Amino acid sequence: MIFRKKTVFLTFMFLLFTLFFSTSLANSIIPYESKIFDSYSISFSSNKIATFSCDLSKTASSVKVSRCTIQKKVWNTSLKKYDWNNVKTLSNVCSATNSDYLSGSKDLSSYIGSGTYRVYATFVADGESRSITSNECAFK
Amino acid sequence: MNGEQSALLEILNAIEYGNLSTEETRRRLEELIDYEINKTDAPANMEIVDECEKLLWALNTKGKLPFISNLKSNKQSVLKRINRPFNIRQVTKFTFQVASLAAIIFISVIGFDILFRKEWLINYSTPDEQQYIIQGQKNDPTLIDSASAIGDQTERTLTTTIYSDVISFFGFDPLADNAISANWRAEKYICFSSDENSSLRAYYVNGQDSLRITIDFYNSMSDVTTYVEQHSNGIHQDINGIDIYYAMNNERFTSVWTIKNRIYRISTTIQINAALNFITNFIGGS
Repeated sequence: MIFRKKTVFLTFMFLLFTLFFSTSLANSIIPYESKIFDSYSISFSSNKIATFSCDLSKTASSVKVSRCTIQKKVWNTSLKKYDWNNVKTLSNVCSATNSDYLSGSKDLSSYIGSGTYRVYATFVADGESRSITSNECAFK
Repeated sequence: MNGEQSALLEILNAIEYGNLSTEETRRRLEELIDYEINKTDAPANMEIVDECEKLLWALNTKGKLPFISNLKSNKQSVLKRINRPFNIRQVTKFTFQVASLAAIIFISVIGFDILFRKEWLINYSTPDEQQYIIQGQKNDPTLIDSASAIGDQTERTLTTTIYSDVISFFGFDPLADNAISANWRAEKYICFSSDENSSLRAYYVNGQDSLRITIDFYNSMSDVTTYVEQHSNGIHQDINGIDIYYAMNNERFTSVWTIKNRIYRISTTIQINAALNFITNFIGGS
């Protein structure tokens, strides 16, 4: 009986140590960095134009801004805080094939009235994606 | 007869030696003061004015309060002010005070503008250290008028291997080639220009090594958000007074820095020390 208890305890401790060290090693060895993205940018100007740019570490068969959502800042009276409401989502705003970069811009003035807005964009290159939120801009 | 006695006689004549009512006496005394003060053919007789005021005081207080004449002190202060000599130090002091006031107003206006309309950048790594972010910030209390892009956006692109074409495209030399030694060969230059920003991507190869310089030019840095991918937190290094951030990503050296309204990024396969030397030469050139 005592031998059985010791075996269970040692097995439990072994599993615990294995879990701890495997997590530590995973953190130190496996890189999380993107396999394809080097950098990506968004700029949202007072002229209501969004500019997109990204650099890849290798040529991708397809690179695009797959989704661009215009968001408006609204006051949530029940939660007593500001929220961002999606005003409009545009697909495939700009794209390129067999490229290691992407540059483009989009006039969003037809979707923007008065208030505070920002743009949320998703870059996709060969299936890997990165999302980015622009600065906010207030309009009369 | 001195001035005071003649003044008294004139007053006594005016009030008919006290044979008038109090109201009439007061009226005549006030009339006499007005006459003396307002006459233009001769200087005012201040003795008459002072004596009249004495009598008015006595009439109004029925002699209960003694009259205290300020004639001498008033005269002295007026004469002192009139006869004050021209003092260069005081003029200089006054000029300095006026200039200081103007400077304070000017600095306050500029300071208000800087405080409430300034732009700046914040740089930080995400908590998981996988991205380094450069984000423009703006503090502007004024709302933007509903301006919008006029007509279609004009976008231009150029892919070339000739650097002079790059200069022609932008209308100025972006100084990308300055630090490139003869060992490196320009593979291609990709130029992009829109109404809001421009960018240059310059690709170089040296045997198995490759190097890419990206320069983004923005109209306003406060509009910009840039993410740079990294394996883990990088290092900030001051090179020629510029804060260079570098890290590793996909086994490539990657670095980013900002100068004015430009964001520079370099991605290369060369070793860290060689890359930092390259950046030092590059910054010297840009």
